Amino acid sequence: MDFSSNIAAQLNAGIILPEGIVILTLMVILVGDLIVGRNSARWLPYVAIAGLLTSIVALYFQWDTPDPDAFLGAFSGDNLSIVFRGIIALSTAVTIPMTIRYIQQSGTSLAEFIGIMLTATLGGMFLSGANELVMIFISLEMLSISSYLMTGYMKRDPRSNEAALKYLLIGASSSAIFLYGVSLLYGLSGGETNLNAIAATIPDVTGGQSLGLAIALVFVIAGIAFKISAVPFHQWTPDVYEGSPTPVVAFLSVGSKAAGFALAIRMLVTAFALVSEQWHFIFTALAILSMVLGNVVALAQTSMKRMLAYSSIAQAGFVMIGLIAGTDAGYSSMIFYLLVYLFMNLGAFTCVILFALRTGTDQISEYAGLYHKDPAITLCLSICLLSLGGIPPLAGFFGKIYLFWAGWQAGMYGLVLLGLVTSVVSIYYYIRVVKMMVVKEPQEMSESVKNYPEINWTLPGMRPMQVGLIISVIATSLAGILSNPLFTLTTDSVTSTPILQSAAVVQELPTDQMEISDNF
Amino acid sequence: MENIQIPWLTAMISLPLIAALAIPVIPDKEGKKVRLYALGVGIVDLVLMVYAFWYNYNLETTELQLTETYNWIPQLGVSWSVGVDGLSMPLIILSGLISTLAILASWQVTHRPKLFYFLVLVLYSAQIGVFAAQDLLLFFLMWEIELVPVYLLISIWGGKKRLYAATKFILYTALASIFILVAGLALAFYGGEFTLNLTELSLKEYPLALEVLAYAGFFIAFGVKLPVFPLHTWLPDAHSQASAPISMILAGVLLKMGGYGLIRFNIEMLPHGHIQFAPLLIVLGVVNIVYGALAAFGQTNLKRRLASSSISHMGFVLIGIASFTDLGINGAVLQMVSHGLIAAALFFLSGVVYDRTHTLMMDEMGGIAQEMPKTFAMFTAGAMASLALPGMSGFVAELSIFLGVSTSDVYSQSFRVGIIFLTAVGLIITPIYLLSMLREVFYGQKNPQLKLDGFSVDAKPREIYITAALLVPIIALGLYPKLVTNTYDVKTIEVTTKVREALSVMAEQQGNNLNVNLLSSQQSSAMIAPHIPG
Amino acid sequence: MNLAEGVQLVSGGILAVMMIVTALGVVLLSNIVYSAFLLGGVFISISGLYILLNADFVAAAQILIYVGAVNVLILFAIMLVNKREDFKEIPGRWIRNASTGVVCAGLFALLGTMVLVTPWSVDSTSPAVIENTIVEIGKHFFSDFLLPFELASVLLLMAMVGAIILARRDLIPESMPRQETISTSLTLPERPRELTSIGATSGEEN
Repeated sequence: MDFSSNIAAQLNAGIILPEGIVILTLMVILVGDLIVGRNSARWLPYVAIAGLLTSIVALYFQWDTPDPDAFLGAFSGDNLSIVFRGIIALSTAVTIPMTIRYIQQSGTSLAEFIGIMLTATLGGMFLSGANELVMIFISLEMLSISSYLMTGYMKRDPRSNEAALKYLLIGASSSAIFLYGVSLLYGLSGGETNLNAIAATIPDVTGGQSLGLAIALVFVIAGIAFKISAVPFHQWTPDVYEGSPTPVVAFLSVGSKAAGFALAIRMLVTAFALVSEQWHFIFTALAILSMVLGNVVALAQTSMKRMLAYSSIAQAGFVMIGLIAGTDAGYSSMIFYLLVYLFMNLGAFTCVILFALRTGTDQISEYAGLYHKDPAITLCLSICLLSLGGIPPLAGFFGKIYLFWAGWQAGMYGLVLLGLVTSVVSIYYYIRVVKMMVVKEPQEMSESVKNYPEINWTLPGMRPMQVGLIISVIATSLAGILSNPLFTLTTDSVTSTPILQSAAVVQELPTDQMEISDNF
Repeated sequence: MENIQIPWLTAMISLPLIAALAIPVIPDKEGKKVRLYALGVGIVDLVLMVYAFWYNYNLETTELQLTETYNWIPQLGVSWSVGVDGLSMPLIILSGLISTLAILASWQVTHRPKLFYFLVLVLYSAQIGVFAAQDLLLFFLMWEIELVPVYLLISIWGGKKRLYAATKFILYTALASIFILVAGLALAFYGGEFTLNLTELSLKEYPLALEVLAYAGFFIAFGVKLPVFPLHTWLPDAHSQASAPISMILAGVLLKMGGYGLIRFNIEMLPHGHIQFAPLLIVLGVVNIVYGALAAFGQTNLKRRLASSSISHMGFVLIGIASFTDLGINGAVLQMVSHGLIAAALFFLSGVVYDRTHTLMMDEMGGIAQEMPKTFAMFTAGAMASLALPGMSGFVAELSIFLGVSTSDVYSQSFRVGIIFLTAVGLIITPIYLLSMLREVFYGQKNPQLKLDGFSVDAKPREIYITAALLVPIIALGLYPKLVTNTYDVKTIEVTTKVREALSVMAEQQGNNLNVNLLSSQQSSAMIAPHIPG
Repeated sequence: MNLAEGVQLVSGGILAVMMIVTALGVVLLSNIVYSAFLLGGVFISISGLYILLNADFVAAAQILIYVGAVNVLILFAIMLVNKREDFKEIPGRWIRNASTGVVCAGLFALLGTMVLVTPWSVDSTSPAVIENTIVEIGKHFFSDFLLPFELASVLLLMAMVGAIILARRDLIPESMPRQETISTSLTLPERPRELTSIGATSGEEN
């Protein structure tokens, strides 16, 4: 009878309070910038950071909420989504400090940039909890479109333009493919858009597997693999990373990737539970390709940003091991690694930005002898890179060990072995940078390091960068040794999430009927 | 006998590490305060070790002592679990001694002293951690921690080709170390219960195929470190390019990690696999001895020659490990300790020589004995110890390995004769190359182009002290080996018994047609090798 | 088959043929203006198909948005660029064309098979039962699709902001010579561009 009041009672809108806070922050930033004008750059970034942190606090208070489904099932606020939303919000909160100085020095306006970044965050956060096809697509597009905008933000730089155009074209086509796959799901389930409903109806309708479901799976994976830049859907990554503003790259490599993985877990585990053997198989192939190609091509890079691009491809390969394992330990190792990866990768990017701001280059050879001029950055970058390479006792080591541990537990011996071998390869190219900075003698210094400007942390925008860097480095050094709370958090989030628990049961049942084996 | 109140081992492991973190804040440009500080830390840690072991270590038992276990990451089953037994205790003291002496030996490092001492102290911690860890992942972590400091220590303070050597070192070691993780995880996940504790792992029963695979994995990992013949190529580069103090640590301690791992993992955990691999180990050991000796013979670089002689000496460790007698294993441990001391002394002295001559090529040296008599005397003593002169520790160790393998009833007569013969060839080449090294460097005509410079040309009191600190135990062990063997006698007997039990079980199961020349079960279980004469 | 069904069938066939022909024209014709106009034809035929499926609102939206906005925008862009460029003939071009054709045909065959073999679960309620599709859509927008609907508004806002940023002319200080802009724009993105810094950021060059 009364449509609106009927609906309003069932919405359970409190679940999206954290996102609400982010939207509010976004409004404050856009409107505040309009009212105050250019001077607003002094306080806007801090408002954004504060908003994001408040949002994380709000997420914390929603832990173990009794009724996680909101908006009639369109959004799920379960613990899994809370962790991923937290990771994404945190990654933006750490990225913003490094943007301030960068954007100001490039002479573009800060408020809009932060606004777009917040929108991207918002898209990622909604994507982590999206439980319905339309919702998934809208939030995915929100994330993508904001990313395109950020990539092309330096519009007077042809490389930024080129990166944005490439990213836009490839991204749009991958979205289209994803949408096609999603529409097949809609058709196969007889007009359902909710993931749980799809999971429930597809077995009745198709009676098991069908070509349609397989094609839908392939198309959806193509869309997801584009977001997490898994080989062979990675071609955009190096060019986009090289051309776009570095803070954007930092966000793309952490926040955007985390959102992609959240989407992967939720969609594959629920809607594609029926073809889990197949998607395990596909992801195994993607993981192998990503680890091998990412690590091997990274060896040959001369530009720091390109190297980090390939390294991020390879890291995505490692994370996929946890996804393929499909066990509680597998999922929680994934989340743990993403958390750790957030700090180490953002720390590395902060150092790269600092170096670029002071010298104007990102060639690896230009880092030669940096130790003599700027030991602080050298130390921070070394720690972050070694952690990415998995050297103990840094956090990355523990993250990788956990992933490999989970993979081994799930019986994926070959994949774990490959992961180990490729991570040794990765040590080589990470340590090459460390060698460049630390080992070179003063007389071997590069030109840019010779002309290294006076270190001045009091310039506007430098303080937040310093704080962000210190936080990242401390987290990278200590998150491994004191990882127990983090492990507890990730394990809790997985074990208390219903979809993952029921999926584990579903997965065990049909294994004997499947032909394609993925026990590689 | 447990001491729960005082976490001795944790203190030993963490003291250098924590002390290292304080180095950046020491206000010191020239490195004078830093080196005193580092030396102080080294000595304090060494004293701590000696004190803890003296008062709290029971020589009578084979059990782990001074154990501490704290839950670290329960989700992964990782715990901070440390403990020592007869096997690790002497090696911990050895690493403490050599690292401390290495700090003293690096007195002249004025180039980036803070970084240098920082890395050395981190390395110090990691070494003790490797020997004390009783948790597989903790062991792996400590094993890996040592990578980056060694890499930087070689690549910043090394010789001309230091970058090449350092990269080779890190790639070899890192690639090999993944086998520890793989094999370890395979064992840990086997069976119903997941455990990473080394003792519990060694109590598990594994199928033979898994044992063989895991054995191969561990063998590759530790074989690179030891090094074993085809995996040794990093060693001459790393040892010759590193500066003298780092060579001391590399040869004195790092190689021992490989031998320690072989005994701790391969024998204790996988006795059945060990039976399968033992003949291969012996053969590789012989190849090591002969190849190392021949390679040393062909080197013109002083440090490369010493490095190759290390390869040769570590061959004895392999043979001892595979001898199936407690005499042999005893000798292997003794050989590790004694080679640690001898190699450290020789590398240090080569550093002393290098400081004066600024060259390591032996053909450019000659006749420097006249100007450096003390150095010459010490170098001769070291070389004598290295060629296993009776009365020095090397002799006792090699002799007991010989006795062990020749009295071993597991191998056929002809096999043993062949082994002994080939090893003897290696033993004969050893004095040749060592003595010719002495001749080339110290005797003969003085090379007119060679300029000896430096303050006072001959060894200074500090250098004499360091050498003495190494030579005294070498001679003491040679005269009275029980000093060290005492600490691990019970442990090696236990290890041997365990392997022999496995041997008899296997012999029963499969008859005599193993590829090993195994004797029947009755004989092998009846035989208990005699103790080393005190 | 009554008359209505017959008309439906025939018009469906005509629309389908029209759509395929125009779509091929879009791809194959070398004159970009023709392609753009033919694209409009594709959109209109799709809209016709929607009408046949009783989706009146979607059909109208299709014409309004795709033909009225997107296609016109494309034409404007072509007009504004207004640059004729003769591309060089790429050697071995037919190989590329052929392989593209093979891939496309294969994909078509795969999807076609899939459409035919999949047991689609067709909703039994006839779309004709729904009296007013707009009301239905509205109800969905305010019930189960509420969140995506609201979210789309944020997305549109940001798209608008982004479009303005990309299109707006930067405030470059008068004193700056034109030449500088070009030279700086070719440098690395990291290169500090003090001259363009605005407002609060001025005076902090390093």
